[in-house]
Amino acid sequence: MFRTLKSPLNVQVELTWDCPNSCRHCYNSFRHDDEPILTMTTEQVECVARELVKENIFRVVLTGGEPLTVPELTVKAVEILRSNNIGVTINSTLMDLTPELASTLRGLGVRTIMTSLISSNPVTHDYVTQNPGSWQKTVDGIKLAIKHGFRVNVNMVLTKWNLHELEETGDFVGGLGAAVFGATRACAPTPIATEFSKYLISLEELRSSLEILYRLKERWGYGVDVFEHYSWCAMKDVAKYSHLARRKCTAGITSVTIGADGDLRPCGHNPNHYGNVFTDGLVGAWAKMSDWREGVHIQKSCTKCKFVRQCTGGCPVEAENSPRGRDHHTTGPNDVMSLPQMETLSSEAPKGRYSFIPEVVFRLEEFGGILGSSKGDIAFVDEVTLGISSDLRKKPNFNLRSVMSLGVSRKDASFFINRLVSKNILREEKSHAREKG
Amino acid sequence: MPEKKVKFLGLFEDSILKQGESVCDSNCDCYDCNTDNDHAAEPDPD
Repeated sequence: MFRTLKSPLNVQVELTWDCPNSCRHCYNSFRHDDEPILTMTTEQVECVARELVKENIFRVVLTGGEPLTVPELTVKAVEILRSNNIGVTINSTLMDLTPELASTLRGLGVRTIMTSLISSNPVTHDYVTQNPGSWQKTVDGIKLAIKHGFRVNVNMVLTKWNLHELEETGDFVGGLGAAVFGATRACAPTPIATEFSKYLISLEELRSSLEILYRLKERWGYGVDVFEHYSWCAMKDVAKYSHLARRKCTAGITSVTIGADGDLRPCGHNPNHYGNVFTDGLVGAWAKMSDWREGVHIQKSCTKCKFVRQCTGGCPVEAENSPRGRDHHTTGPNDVMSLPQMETLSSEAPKGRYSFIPEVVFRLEEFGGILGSSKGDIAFVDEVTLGISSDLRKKPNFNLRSVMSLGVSRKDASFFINRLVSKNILREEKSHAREKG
Repeated sequence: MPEKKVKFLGLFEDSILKQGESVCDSNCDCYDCNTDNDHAAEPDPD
């Protein structure tokens, strides 16, 4: 069903399973069962980072547990990854952020941090984290991170415990100066799925949360997001929420999670293990995850939906944990009332001179290759187009005629340039005057 | 020299982006810009 990539594009690395909080909704199964709380050794972090570099991974999320409880490991990972031009973001409570650590991470090129704020109400936050004083520490951490120039994305995990405080939390986060405010439904953590289900928000509450989120966007001008994939039928007005609809379930297809034990899991929610990065290597363990590429885990009731290719259906882990065998926020195609807004690619012949961005990576794949970078988009191309790209990359810059001189029609050459410019993989040389087409 | 065709592919085994349709957003099943990592912030914009 899906192409098999030789390795993932995005990897989440759980440096440690330790965390000062014990969030009642935490999706990490190891936070709710009897598994020992592991932390990678320095050698293991180096091993993982080297694997990620070797296999041309584009983006890495350092997470946990709480990665800033092991600042030396976080810094070590960032050093190796950033020096090899891999994009790094950090998921953190920010409770352990210090001015020194903030300066170090910024200096190494980390720009974006995602954190969780359960509520603007300290009582609610500390109740959910089961850690008195955690609200104040996270709020202080958010302020410190923003002061050091981080782009802070604040996520509120929605449950029955805090849903009624969504709007005021969005206002509070706006006042803090966050770049993005997210309000993401909680999924039932696998080991306690049955007893947790009464705290999950309903479909109507989910849709209402999206309306509130977009009201807050208007009010504050910040970005809004949900940090997990929502099915299209859950969103209903998909045109309005086009930005949110970009997220798909990418588990085992383009992304993977490496646990503190080195085991690969399709995503952070999923407790199932597929090989180990320390013993199998990243590629060896990734290869064992082929069932995810075959679409085996797409929710059964979604497989016949006319939107499944774009939407990818409900969350497979939610479906597996549910007695009804489906993500409880999925309904069916009749609820999809509008489609995402499309951005049309220019059909005009490009008139400038262009070059690949300096950090572009060409990654060979069985079907051809991937052009991409840590900060831009990704493009999958066939072998011929990869060859054209490789020839053009040898030139300091090129124009439409240069592409045509490689045996490409004018129409295809325009398509090639316009598409790669739109994906920030090619850039127009500003020093050259625009030429006549 | 035979003409070379430019092909941008999707992540589905049979998907090829058609020219002039879109820049591949979420209404397109070719999936190649639908690679945002779940459970993560977007990458640095600069």
